[in-house]
Amino acid sequence: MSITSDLLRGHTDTIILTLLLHKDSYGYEINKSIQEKTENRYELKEATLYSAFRRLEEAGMIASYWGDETTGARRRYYSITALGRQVYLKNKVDWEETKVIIDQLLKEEAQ
Amino acid sequence: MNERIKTHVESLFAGAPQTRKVLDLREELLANLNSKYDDLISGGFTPDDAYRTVIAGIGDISELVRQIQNESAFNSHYSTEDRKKSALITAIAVGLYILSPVAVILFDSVLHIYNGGPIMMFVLVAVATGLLIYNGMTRPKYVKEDETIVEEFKQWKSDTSEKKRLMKSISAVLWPLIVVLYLAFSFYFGAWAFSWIIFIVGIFIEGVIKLIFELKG
Repeated sequence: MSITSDLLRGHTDTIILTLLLHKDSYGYEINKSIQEKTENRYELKEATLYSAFRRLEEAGMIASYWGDETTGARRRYYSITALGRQVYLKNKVDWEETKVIIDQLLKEEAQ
Repeated sequence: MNERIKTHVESLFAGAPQTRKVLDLREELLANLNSKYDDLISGGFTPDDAYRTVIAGIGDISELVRQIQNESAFNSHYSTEDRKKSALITAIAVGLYILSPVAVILFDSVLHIYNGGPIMMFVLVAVATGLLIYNGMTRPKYVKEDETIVEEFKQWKSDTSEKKRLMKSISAVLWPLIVVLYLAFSFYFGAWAFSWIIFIVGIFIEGVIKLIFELKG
């Protein structure tokens, strides 16, 4: 799992952008979606998640606002910006290309 | 709200300055950890297991806290260098004001150039006043860090004092100018008997300027 984590870490930002494409969300919900999508094989540490939020917000790819929960603690919600959508699309294309190249390179050649 | 989680999160932020951003992160983290804890309990975890799982999932947050901390420090007001520069400019300007009558004495009594004295005095006063106004205008404005009442108050205060500074600068031009006019007028026309009226006119002018500022603000 540790090797997988290293490979995955470089894609944390894109993963978060993907999960915000269709609805605004908050930290725990995003992490829960990641767990569900991967059938409990992957989960972000809170430290990684909030560092990514901060980075993405600074870069203008996401925006945040406080929710108005009537019960319990306030939640901070994140929404994707137009720039965030562009970056998501670009990163996705990049990944598709990378995937093909890595597959080609890692394929064992028949002698 | 789970007390153990709260205590743990507070310990993670111990020693960090209580800036808005740090407090926001703490609140955000706490809310999310509590949701996770509640979910785990609903999923059949014992309170101890749920607590351990939640804490283990946080990871190393110290780096993030440190980054936010630096960010806040970066945003802080103007530097000692700016303040030193400002003090120097003020000192030079005040020095020029004090020296300006010397010009009159020098030109009149020592060099015997009669029109030179008042002209030099005007020039010195103009330069000094220019320096003071420049100093007042270039001082950095307070930009609010976030949307809180305290920050808004600070900005309001900064805006108000900016107006006050401009007002002070205008007064600083007005009064030396009046003194120079008074002296020049009196010397040239020997009108000492009534030339003092200019001071009353000065008070009136200053009052009008103040009024304009009040109305504008």
